[in-house]
Amino acid sequence: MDENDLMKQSDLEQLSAWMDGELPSDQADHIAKLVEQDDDWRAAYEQFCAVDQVASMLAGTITPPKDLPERIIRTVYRRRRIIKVLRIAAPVAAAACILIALWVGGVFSRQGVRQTTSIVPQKSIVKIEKKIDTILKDINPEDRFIVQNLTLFKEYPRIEEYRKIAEVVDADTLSALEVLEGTGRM
Amino acid sequence: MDSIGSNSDKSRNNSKRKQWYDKDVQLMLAFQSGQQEAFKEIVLRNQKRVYSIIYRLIGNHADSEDLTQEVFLRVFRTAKTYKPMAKFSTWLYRIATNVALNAIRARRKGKTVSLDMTDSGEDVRHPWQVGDKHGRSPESYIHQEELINKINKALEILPENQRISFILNKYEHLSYREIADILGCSTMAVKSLLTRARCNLQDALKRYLGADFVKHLPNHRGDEGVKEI
Repeated sequence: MDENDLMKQSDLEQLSAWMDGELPSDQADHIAKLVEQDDDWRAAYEQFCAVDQVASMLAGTITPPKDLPERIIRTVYRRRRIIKVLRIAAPVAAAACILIALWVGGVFSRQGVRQTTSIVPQKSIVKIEKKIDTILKDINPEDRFIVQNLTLFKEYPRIEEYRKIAEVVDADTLSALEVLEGTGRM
Repeated sequence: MDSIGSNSDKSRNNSKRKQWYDKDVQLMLAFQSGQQEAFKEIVLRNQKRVYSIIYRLIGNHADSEDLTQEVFLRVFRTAKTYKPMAKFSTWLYRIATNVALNAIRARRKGKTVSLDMTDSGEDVRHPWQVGDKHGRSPESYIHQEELINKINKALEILPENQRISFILNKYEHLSYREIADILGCSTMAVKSLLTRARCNLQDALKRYLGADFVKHLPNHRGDEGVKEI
C-alpha cells in the first residue's frame, strides 16, 4: 500500500503547501513536527521530495533564440499593417462589389428592355405587311403596280417634264438631242 | 487551511498597491498613450518568461517561438483596453497559458506532429540535450536522457490545470496566489491541484521507473548548475 494512501487528502494538501512554503508559521511548525515524529507523514514527505527532485531535473534556464524579440516586433507590426490595410480595403472592396453588382444588374435590365423594344416593332412590321398584302389583293392590278413601285414613281416630276418637252419638240429633234447627249437620257 | 487564503488576500492587496510601481505596467500605460518604444521594451523584458512557460507546456522550440509571437500580438491588440487590475506578469502568464493550451488542444484534435518530433512523437530537443558540462560518461548521459524522457511523459499525462500549476510553481516559482490569478481559481484550488499533481506524478514515475524510482535518480538536486537550452 502506498504511503500516501494512509493519509487523508487534506493532510497531503497541508504537507504539499508546507513544502512549498505556503503555510503560515504556526501551521508550518505543526506540520514540521508531524513530519519529524509521524512515520506516515515522514514517508509521504519523502515521496513528495522524490517527486520534486525528479521535477528539478527538468529545471534550468530555457533560452529563446537571440533574434526572437526582433522577430516578435517585426511580426506584430507587420500584422498591424495588414490589419490596417484590411480595415481600409475591406469596406472599399465591399463598396466596389456593391457598385459592380448594381452596374451589372443595370446592364442586364437595360438589355432586357432593348430586347423587348426590338422584338415588338419587328412583330408590328410583320403585322402591317400582312395587312398591306390583304389590301393590295383587293385593288386593281394597275394601282397595285404603282403602290408596289412607289420608288419608281418618286421620279414622276422628271417624267412629267420629259413629257412636256416631248410635246414642244417633235420626235426627230428629240432623238437628235439624245444622240448629241450620247447618253440617251435627259 | 484558510490561512493561505487570508495571507494571499493580504499579498493581493499589497500587489494591487505595488502594481502601479510595476515597470511593465508603466510601460503598458506608456504604450497605450502612443509611445511605440514602450512596446519594444515590454517584449525585451518579458520574452524569456513567455517563451519559457510555453516551451515547458508545448515541448518544442519552433512552436514555442510562434506562440510567443502570438502572445505578444495579443498584448499589442489588447493594449488599448488594458487596465492595470493585476500584476502585469500574471496577466501575461494568463495569456501565455491560454495560447499554449489552445495550441495543445488544436494539436490533439489535428494530431499535428512537429518536425522536431521523432516517429514515436517525442520531441528530440529536450532541455537536457545540452553540452555535458559535468563530465558525465556517454552511458550515464543516455541513462539520464531516458530518465528525463520518462519524467516528461509523466508530466505530459497530468491533467491540464495540474500540469500548469506544477510548472508555474516548480519552474517559474510563482506563489499559489499568482497561480490562482492566472488560472482564475482560488488558492485552495491551487493547493489541491498541486497536491494531486504531486500524487499523480509519483504514481506515473512508479509506473515508468518502478516503485523504487528514487533509487534511479542521480545525485541531482537541481543545484548542479543551471542548464542552458
